[in-house]
Amino acid sequence: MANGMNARSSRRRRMIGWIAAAIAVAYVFLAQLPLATGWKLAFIDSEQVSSVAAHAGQSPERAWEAKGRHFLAREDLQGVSEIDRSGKQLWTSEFPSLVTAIDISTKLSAWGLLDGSIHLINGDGTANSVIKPASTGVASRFACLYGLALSPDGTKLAALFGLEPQHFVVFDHKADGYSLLYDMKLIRPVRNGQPFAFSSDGKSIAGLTGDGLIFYDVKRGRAATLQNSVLSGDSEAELIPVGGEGFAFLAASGNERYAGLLRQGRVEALFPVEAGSTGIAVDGQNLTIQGQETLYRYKVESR
Amino acid sequence: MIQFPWGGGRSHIVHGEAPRCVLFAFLMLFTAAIKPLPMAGAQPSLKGLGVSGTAILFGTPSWSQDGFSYLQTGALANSPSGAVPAVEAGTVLFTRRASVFGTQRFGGAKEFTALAHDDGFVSIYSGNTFMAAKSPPSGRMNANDSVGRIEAEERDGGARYTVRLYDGSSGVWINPALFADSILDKASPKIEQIALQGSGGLYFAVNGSAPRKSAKNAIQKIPQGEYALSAAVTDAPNGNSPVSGLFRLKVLLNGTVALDKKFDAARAAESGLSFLGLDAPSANCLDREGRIVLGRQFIPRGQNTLDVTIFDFAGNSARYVWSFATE
Repeated sequence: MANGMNARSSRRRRMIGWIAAAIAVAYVFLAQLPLATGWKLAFIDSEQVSSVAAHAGQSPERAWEAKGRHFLAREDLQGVSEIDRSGKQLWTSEFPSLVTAIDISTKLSAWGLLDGSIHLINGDGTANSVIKPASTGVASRFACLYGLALSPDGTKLAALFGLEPQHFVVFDHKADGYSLLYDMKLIRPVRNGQPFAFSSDGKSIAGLTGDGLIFYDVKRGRAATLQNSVLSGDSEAELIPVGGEGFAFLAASGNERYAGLLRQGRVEALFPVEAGSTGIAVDGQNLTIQGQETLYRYKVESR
Repeated sequence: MIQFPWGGGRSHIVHGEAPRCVLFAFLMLFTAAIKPLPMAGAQPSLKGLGVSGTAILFGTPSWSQDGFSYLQTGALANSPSGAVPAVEAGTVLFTRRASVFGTQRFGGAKEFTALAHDDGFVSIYSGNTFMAAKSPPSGRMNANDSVGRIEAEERDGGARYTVRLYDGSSGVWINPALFADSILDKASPKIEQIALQGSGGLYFAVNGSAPRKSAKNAIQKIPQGEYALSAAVTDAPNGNSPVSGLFRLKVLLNGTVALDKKFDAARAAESGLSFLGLDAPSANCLDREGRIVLGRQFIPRGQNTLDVTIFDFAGNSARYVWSFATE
């Protein structure tokens, strides 16, 4: 009687063991399958910079170009003027403090200052509004702007603001101006300018902070940080939107340079590029990385 | 904290309170000379301003090839060693260093360091060849710690940087001369022109210009009305002496004080910098010919005398009297 019970119990244990093993194998197998279609960068070709330099020269000398607009900085970094392609001054503006963070859209420009204020200027140079995060309940011992991103339609603004503590904040434009939509305190501060950008579809924000790469989902109103040694507050990076919802980046970590793609809170691609790379540009789904003497072209493709 | 005699312990300088500001600065310097103050944050101490080749630029007009015209807020200091010292202990607020990706950004390769001090002041260090030091992990710096380095410029071998002081508590830029050691400026400032610009036109007298030499004492006729009074003034170095910078402008109209203004502070307004109580931006302080606009003044009918006296921070002065008839 007792031997029969022990045999049944032993069979049941073996059965449970086999089921557990099968579940484990199935989990390992399924974990390898992508839940969503990923992106990759496919190399297209390269071209000597000297051959394309002949096509350059359309932007005025000394001017900084962003979103097809050209800006000149005042010597003390407390003023800006926009010029057209011929160099004619369109408008000039003086700020109460030094410019520390900028983002440009086609119809608006945002200027973050050392004094913690954000000045929004319309395309014709008239003042749009001034945002002071400290006046909206974002408390820091020191007020200063370290990063800015304007949504493509200008209705939202993200900023890396303040010291002790530093905040990642998002503002939303309402009838009576910009109001605070999201505030996230950061643990490790940065003390220099960091890249921030909205995706082309305006649905997400990416930027570098001392806590790592930050992603903000506009629809859900939530942010998350991602630690990556290449994309940390100590490294320098350029970040630009690519496709509808992604970002391309060029990052410097020590003497190395890396390029890659970010999308939906993930690093989709990360690979070393020429050590002397100086810039990144996006044209549709194509990505160009400027080396010292060569342009490298890549295409963003689905995996 | 710097204890100002007004404003409940927070520094607060506005135009119209300039005499108190200067008196206070003098008392602070005098008191500091005889007894160290037991304050949490010592007042900024600007080194390297009293030697040759240095200058207070606060209120000095600047015109750039890019078409900017504005008034400056800083001081040009000298660093023989190339090290740029912090004026006071503070926290690194912002460091702008040249991009590893090159100069393709707003402002090109310009670098600066901003230190936030415990008393609400922010000091900013920059220059043509200024290289910002990397921020320490704690972000804290002591007085005289090096916030960066400056390379000697080829033209005269001098290693100079610009330092600016912002009072974050009051939202004003402070004339660095107020916190400098004694500046042995022996050269007087100069008044080159006085001008009245009104609806009736532009009238001006030129001082010392050979073709218009007689204008100083000539009697001109201008229509009665309200005018913008402006003056072309300079405070240039004499040999190797430092420049303490234009500080006070006083105008008497027919013996009565019409204007008495100081370049002690510039208010940081949303639309820029407000000097001499004029509306921001600072370009409003300059007329088309680059003269400094002092303010508006009604010129009555009859014989008038404008008596303009300017002082640099060291106390050197220049005077110019313009007599004219108004009809």
